[in-house]
Amino acid sequence: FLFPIKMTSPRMIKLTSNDDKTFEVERDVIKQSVTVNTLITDLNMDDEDVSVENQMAIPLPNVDAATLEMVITWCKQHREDPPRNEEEEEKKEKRTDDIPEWDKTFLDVEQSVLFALILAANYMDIKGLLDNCCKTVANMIKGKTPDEIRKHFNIKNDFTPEEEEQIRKENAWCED
Amino acid sequence: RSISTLTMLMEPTDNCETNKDRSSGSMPLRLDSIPQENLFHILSFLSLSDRWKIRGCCKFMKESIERSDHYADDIALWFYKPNSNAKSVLEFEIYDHGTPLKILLDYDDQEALQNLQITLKRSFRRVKFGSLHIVCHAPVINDEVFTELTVFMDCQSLDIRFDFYYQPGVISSAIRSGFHIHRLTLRHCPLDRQQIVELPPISEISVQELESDGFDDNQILAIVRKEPRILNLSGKISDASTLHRVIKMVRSSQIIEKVNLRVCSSYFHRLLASMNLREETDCLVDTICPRSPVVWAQINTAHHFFEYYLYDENWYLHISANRAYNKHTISVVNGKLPEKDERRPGPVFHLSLRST
Repeated sequence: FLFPIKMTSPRMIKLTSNDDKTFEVERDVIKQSVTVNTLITDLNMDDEDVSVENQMAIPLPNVDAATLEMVITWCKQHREDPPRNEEEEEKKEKRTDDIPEWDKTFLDVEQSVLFALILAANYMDIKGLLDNCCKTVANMIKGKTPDEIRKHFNIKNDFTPEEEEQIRKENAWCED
Repeated sequence: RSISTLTMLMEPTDNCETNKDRSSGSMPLRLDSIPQENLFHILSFLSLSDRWKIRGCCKFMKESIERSDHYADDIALWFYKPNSNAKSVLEFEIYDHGTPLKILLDYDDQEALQNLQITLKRSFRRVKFGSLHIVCHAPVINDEVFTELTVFMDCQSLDIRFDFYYQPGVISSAIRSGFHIHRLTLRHCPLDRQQIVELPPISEISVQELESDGFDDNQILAIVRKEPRILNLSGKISDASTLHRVIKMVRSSQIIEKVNLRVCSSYFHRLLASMNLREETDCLVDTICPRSPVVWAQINTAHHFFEYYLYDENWYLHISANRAYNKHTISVVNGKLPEKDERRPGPVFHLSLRST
């Protein structure tokens, strides 16, 4: 006897960026976004009978297309990651030397792109991406003087000389 | 389920700033323009000093950091580093989330003290500390200083602990100012017996360098009689009977919960010599368990591990060649074996010890 084998293709979800570009992404991939995942669950969007063509796209008014594409790439790379236990994560020592090599390369981008990713990860509630982006920025800050930080991040010094002197005094202990 | 419903659901809330304008190209995102929520997340991965240093970048960063939860940690570091010529130093340790942060404040610098108070006052309104641990090294600490420090008392949730290394007068001064002394560390300045007797109840007493400070046995016993919840003694108790009395008092106390003894006693050397055992290091009594059915002390030496028991007014000494193999066990009970002795295999020696 031969039984027909039902070939199930991965469930796809449509996401639309704030500049109206739509992306199709596997349900299993985008589940890393707590925001999107909650929305899909709450609105019963997991209905298998609805084809992707007829499916409503989830608008992401806070994320542009370029950033969303990067977010999706990151989620694809990390789709096999074990689910995070936030309680355990909270207890963990805050380290910045544990960014995976793939992420290091992936996040080696212009600062504006990195910050856009931070905002997107925060909005879409993707903790792993948010953590690794923030760790990358933290690594850029570590060990630098305020002046070096200003230069690195192109920050304008808007202190008056008096305010600067006051801060210099307050910071004397950590600038040895 | 319509596109408008979805759009409405996905609209950022007031707390979530949109980066649409920024990402449109007119204003690229920068560290000093990202939402504070994200900045705080970045800050959480920085060390205290890096976090503090970044305040010096610009007003936005300074204000953001001062509004962050981490500021509760960081305010502890609002101080001027004492210069080498400082005549007096106040040392503060603030334990927040279990992390001790230390402030060293040059008390000669009135401005620094004033600023510290302002900062702490302001912060107390927003944060709760685990405890403020004030270590007073300065011999100049007097009523005036304690009056200044009463600012800390405004915060009811604060567990203030004092360690005093100098001058008994400082303690009475602190008490006059209304401070409760949770912990007292005595090191270089011994209180006489009467002064110890007159001390208020103190939760934790630590006495360091017993012999070198000239503590006599009466002082040691007076301290044990204060019955602190935690008693730390380190140094040397030469007289075996004093050691016995300390252990016995600890045993009978209903208040003492924990005793850390790091005392060496020539008594143990003599004892070991009488057993033809030579020890290369000082014999140290490590721990005494109060209120256990059998009061016991562990005594560590280079090669031997002792358990020292008080049992129905009799003393037993168990000696093992080492912890792991328990090659030799000696039980000593004033010259006789105890009825309830928990002897372990090994040769048994009978020694004559003075009973307490």
